[in-house]
Amino acid sequence: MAADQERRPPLGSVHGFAVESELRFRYLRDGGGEPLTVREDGAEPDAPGDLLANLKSRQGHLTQVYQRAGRFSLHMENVGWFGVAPETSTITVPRTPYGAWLEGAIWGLPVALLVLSRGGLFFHAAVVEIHRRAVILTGPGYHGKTTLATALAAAGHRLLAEDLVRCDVGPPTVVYPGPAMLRLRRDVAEWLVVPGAERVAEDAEKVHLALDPGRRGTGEALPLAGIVLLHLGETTSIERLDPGATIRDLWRVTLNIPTPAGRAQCFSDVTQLAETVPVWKLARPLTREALAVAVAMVIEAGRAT
Amino acid sequence: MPAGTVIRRGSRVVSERLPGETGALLLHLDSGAYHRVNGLGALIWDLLTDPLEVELLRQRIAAQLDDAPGSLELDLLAFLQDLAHRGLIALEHGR
Repeated sequence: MAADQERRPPLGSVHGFAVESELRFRYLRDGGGEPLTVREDGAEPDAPGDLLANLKSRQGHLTQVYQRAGRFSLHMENVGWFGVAPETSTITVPRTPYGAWLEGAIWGLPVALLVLSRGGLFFHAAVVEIHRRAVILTGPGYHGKTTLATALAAAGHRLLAEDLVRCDVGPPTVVYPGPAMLRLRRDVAEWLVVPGAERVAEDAEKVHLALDPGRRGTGEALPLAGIVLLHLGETTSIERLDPGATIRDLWRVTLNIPTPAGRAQCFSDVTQLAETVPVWKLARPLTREALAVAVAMVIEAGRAT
Repeated sequence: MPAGTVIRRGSRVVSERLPGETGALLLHLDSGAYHRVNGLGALIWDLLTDPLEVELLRQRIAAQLDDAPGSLELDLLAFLQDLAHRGLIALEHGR
């Protein structure tokens, strides 16, 4: 009995958590963090609670988020039920054969809810490491965020996250590496290659890649050097923004628990972040020629601060 | 706007000062809608820390401006109507 109750060693690190589970994961990094247990369950909750949000993915799949007594239940269409219990740092997941896809889903909204319920920020963003610091790339959908991050990774900069990133506003303000995965549009995957990345799954739109274990590094938090807001433009340019000009864009890409307390906490963090961290506007056309110029501009901005 | 109207900050609104600037940010907690006001708007918001009659608000604004424009009253009423429309303030009409 005592042996059964011993904690298993962590499998790896993601978003600042040391993951313990009987499941096997492809996207974890070396290192530790706060304990997080992930286990299969999938049972529909008897009483999921208040409906907080109906979220539609780009593919039109619905995710419903409920909250009751401090816990969250998520129902993902065609997949099943996830549970998030902040008080025990546990995420329960449905039984599904879609391994790589499920793992990508676990390290998204379920983990974000766990973090947000305790404070902290989560952005829709990609993140790369430049000179041992994190640079966040963010903006509206279809603005080339993942492609730009992939190009920076191909140029030798460690990819820390490709979709959601956890940020704790300080001092110091730090970013936690997310899953070592990349979901790239099929047409982009034809010509943009990340050395050592392994193709693990495909869906109708994207190729799912696991980053080379030898290159993904640890889950240790990095100081945040700055944030790059992506805009579309006819030419490629980058400019530093005044804090007041950045908050609307940052707010749009910030996840928050859609309750008054959740919004108030994130609002305060976002304004503090804008005050303390450099923010740039990078405008570019979405062409391969402009991509190389954009990569150079981001690297220079990351080095300059 | 009837004389004696009292202006009150919306109870479901939080605010933050814009870092390094004179403006302010207002967030409606129920809708999540975010609003940005300029320096004069931030001054008005500060003056509404406690509920205030509209005429008294106008006087206090004028006292803070070096050169209050002649259109201050009309501009103020339009601004307040806009804030009320967005749910950021409440207008309590006097008797």
